[in-house]
Amino acid sequence: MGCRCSSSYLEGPVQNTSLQNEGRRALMGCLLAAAAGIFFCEAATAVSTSRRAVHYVAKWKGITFMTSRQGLGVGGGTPYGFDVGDSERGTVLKGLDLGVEGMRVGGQRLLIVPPELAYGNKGVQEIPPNATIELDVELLAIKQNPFGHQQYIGKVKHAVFHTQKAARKRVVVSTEENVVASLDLRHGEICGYCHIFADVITLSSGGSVLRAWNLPDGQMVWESTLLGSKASKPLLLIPTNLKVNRDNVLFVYGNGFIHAVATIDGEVIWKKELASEGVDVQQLIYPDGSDTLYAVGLLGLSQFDVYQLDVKSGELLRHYNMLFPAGFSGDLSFVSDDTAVAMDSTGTALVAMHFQDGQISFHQTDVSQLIQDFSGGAVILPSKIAGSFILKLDSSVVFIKVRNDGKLEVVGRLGHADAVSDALSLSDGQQAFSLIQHGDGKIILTVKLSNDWTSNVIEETTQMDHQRGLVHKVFINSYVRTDRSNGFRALIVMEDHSLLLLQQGEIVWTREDGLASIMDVKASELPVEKDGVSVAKVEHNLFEWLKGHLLKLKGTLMIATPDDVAAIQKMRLQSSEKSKMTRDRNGFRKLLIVLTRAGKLFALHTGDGRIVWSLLLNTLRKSETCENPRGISLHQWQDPHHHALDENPSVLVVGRCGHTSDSAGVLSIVDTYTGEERNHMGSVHSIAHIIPLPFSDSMEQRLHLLVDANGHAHLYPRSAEALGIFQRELGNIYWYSAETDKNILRGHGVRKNCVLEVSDEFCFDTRDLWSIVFPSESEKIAATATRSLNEVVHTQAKVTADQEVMYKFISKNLLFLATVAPKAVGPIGSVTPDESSLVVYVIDTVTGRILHRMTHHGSQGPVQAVFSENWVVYHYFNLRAHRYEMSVIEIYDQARADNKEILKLVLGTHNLTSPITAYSRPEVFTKSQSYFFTHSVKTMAVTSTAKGITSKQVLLGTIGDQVLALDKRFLDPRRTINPTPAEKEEGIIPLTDSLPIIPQSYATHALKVEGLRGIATVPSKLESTTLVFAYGVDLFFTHLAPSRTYDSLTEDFSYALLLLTIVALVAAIFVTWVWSEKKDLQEKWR
Amino acid sequence: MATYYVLIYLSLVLLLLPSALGISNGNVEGYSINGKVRFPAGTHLIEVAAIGYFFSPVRVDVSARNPGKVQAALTENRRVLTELVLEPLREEQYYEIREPFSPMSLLKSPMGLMIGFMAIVMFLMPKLVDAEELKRAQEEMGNQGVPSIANFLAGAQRTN
Repeated sequence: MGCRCSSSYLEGPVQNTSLQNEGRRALMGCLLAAAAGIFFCEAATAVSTSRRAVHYVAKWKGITFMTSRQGLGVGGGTPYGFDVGDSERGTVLKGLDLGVEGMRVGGQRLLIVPPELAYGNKGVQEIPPNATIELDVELLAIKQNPFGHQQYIGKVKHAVFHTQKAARKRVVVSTEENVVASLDLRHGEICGYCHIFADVITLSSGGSVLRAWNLPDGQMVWESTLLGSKASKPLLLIPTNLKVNRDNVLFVYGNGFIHAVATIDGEVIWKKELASEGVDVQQLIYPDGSDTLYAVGLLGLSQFDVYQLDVKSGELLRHYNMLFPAGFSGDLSFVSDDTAVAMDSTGTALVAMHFQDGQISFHQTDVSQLIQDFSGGAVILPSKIAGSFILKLDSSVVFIKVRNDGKLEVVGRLGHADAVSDALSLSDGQQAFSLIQHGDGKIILTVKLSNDWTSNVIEETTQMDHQRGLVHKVFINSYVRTDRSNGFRALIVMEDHSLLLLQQGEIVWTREDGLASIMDVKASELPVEKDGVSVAKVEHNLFEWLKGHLLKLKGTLMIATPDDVAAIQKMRLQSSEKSKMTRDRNGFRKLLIVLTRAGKLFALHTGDGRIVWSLLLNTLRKSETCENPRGISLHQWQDPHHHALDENPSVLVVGRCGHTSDSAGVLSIVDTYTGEERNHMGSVHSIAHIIPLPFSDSMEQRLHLLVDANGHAHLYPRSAEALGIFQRELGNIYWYSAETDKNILRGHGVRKNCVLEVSDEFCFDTRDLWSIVFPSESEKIAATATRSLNEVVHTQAKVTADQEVMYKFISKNLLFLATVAPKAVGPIGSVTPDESSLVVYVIDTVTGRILHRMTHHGSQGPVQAVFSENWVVYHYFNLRAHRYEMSVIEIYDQARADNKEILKLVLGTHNLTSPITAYSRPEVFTKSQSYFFTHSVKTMAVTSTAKGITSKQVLLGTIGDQVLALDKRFLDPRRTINPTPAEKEEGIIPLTDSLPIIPQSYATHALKVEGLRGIATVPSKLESTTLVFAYGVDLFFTHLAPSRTYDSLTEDFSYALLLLTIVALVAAIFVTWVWSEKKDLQEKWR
Repeated sequence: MATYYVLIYLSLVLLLLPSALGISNGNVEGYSINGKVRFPAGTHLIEVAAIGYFFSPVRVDVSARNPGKVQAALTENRRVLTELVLEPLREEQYYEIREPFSPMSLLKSPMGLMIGFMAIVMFLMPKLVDAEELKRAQEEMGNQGVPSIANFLAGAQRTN
């Protein structure tokens, strides 16, 4: 929804240009809304992220060609439902989507829709092309989607303000999550329809893909692929008023070529290769009004090169260079059209380079000459201030002016600055830039003019939440105040990736864009409701409850007045006790604890998706001891269920200080009710594996084993009690590790305390129990999957239609592993079917025994797999059929197969709970089947319910960023083409070669979870229902009922109707009694 | 494998559809409407993701020996495409249509069944039993009379 489109590998800058595109202006033509009949004042107004139901009559030249009002019922017909923003996806007329914006429930509008917002120049059925149509719309209902769907964009890299002209002001941003978004400046929303007529151009994929976006709705106008031989830093230059053949032109440098591209359609006008000599071009310069384009770069780190090109033809006019023997360090900083500055290779001197008309001159100045107390470590900040640059030192920031003769002059010095913005040109020809300084719980924003370093134009102090950390980036924009002076607004990006707009010392809006990069999710219970409920409240509730159901009944019987409809609406909104902070009976209300890439922990309420608390973890912040911290995973640390109920639940956050598995680890334990950090350990041993153990101590703290890179296992929590439990269970602890690079799968166990210089009783030596070496010439580990630790299995056996019993082989220690031929690791199509094969294994991780092995010839990855109960479902690509395929493997216990005492099983006396040891050579048999599947799959998950009784669904994240809930019954290896009647009765679906995609089974419906990365499922207390949380750049939350209404009533179940029936039955009993009494009397009189 | 590339002009039928175009080979994945996509020689799979429409993946074979020769076919129904115009196979309706209110649905509900059964017992059952047969049966029973709800209720009241 909105004008946001994600694209791959967005690296380059976003620049703003004004494309002359009159046609597009017309497209956003007039939209006339008239006569909004407002009946109810308290009715919800239509806002985005809601679903609407309308009645409409569509007319063309007075002739009704389509209406929803035909059909049954008093109101007539079936109302038409659509989501706000559906028109973006082309499923709803744009005019209708736009036209109901701001309408109230019950309101009526007549919309006159221009063809651009209706059927365009195509025409549909009897409607001719370019027809202006009329829509008579009545808004019947708005259904809010409270958590449902939240949209984020990620950490902002570049921002361009768009505030000229009237209409709504906006800022276009590009982010680290590969998103280009346009935000409304007033509210910070991802805007749907803001009418500004300019376009945005982005450069991505290392300068090889150039795209132009239309601002109002984020649609792509054109895309141009620029070819080249050599990867290089992408550059983009958009001259303000340069025309070649009457087209506006922009210049792109990427992959060693300069391209001149027409802004109107993305056609390449000319291109010129510059990389042949190995010059690293760092800047394209176009002096206004001339017809020469300068490309300036470095060869090696010591030669300064300038190319002059003709803008019209791309012809190389001149090429000159000069050697700087001392060498440069880092990139060039350009202070004007003919001057650049760089540090020399020693980092102690500044070099100013002057180039014009074929002449290059260097001026070297020692930093210590400019700054007396210079001690090294100076960095030139990119700031784009004309004639000057900013030098950042350890403790201060220095402004240096470059004079025409190349001499440098210090013009100002500031204590310290945490972030400096790019220079902003003001209307009077001056340049302004801003600095951010941190204070105690506040930030100070100062705006200075480039010609006056000493005084501040603006100095504003804003209170800032500690949980947001430091300011990482600042972008400024000016506006003209009523007194004609310049005002400034600043967009700041914080350490936790949130985005804020500051204006006049106030935070105008905040966006929690850190949530676009979720690393891991864990669900936590809410506190139990403690205080009692008064009798009066119950009575009141009962009355309200009855009244509500009466109204609902009226609604179903269609005898509700508009007043009643409004009352029902209101009640539905109010009755959502969804947002309470206590547990509910059904277990729908929970907290989702999410860890983001910025190292911030958020608790999201599943009821309405609000942020209950957030915590920027100090252990995951950059510090001297921890240079590159990043969170890895979240684990349930304490989950009080039976005892220790006074304790709050908590989660364990595991992180690392570097990118490799041997870098120091960090641990934090965070209370999930309050969001306070209870305990933290910085820079402990390295963390290679985290093994949650199935034991907990008297405080219900789960025992965890953290294995470091040296093979030592460390026990947590570090308490004597935990140690006691651990030592009792020492012989029963096993884990495995898959070394993908070495192609080895190893099984491990614990031996004894480790021998270290400092004795540590919580540290244990590990021993290798077994290992499986895969032949490196034919197999490479592609994917692994294990069962979720807390999965519950209800039935251990499956009774088939012919009274056979199949015992499921259920073991916590099963591992699914898939290998592909090393050649086929690349993308699809790079190998022939004969060269590639996919081998799947089911391995017992205690003994290392391979229980099942199967080869899929002519298949390759990527492999996605999910393991649940006794089955595995995996997705891969079949090269022979050239289609994606999904397979299922079910594992059954052979040893118990002879045991046919069904009666005992039914009565529960069957000895299924007898201890099973993995060493007793399990005899298993497997069944498997494969099916074609249309789409590629990004991620896979399986639903989980409280007791594991109801059926399961496999959740597939599709390429379109939707979540498809596929019933496990479709993935049943016992499916046959012609099932017998008995099998049909059992519910076996006839076999088809491909899995059906039923659009109604998309859990996301018509929504998209942009950039989908993961799906988490949480059981609720209601056996039928499972909670599903899908995350990517967007977040999506929903309830799924895989077995439909297993233990819940249907949505339209009416209690009032039940009451009515009971009343009617009682009345009938009395009537019959009276009748029979009368009849009896008559008999007697006769 | 030959590093020979073919520029293919893809066009989506729905012009106003902002849609993602995913292509199996990582280097050409992108976002494109009527876009130009560069394919190296080999076999590729194009998937179109557009909310509201179902597109079949398209298999594209770019010949390495025969420059410029491109074959395309839909994988779902194996139809060969003569030009690379991607058309949706069908529209997708993500929402189930709410059943309109009907008296039958009321009757089918558990409560409706209860009332219906009672009505049958009350009004139809007496008519099914022949009046004369009933009389004979009553006579056979002698003076005990017909056990009726009235008697039962009256009896119950008396014991109270």
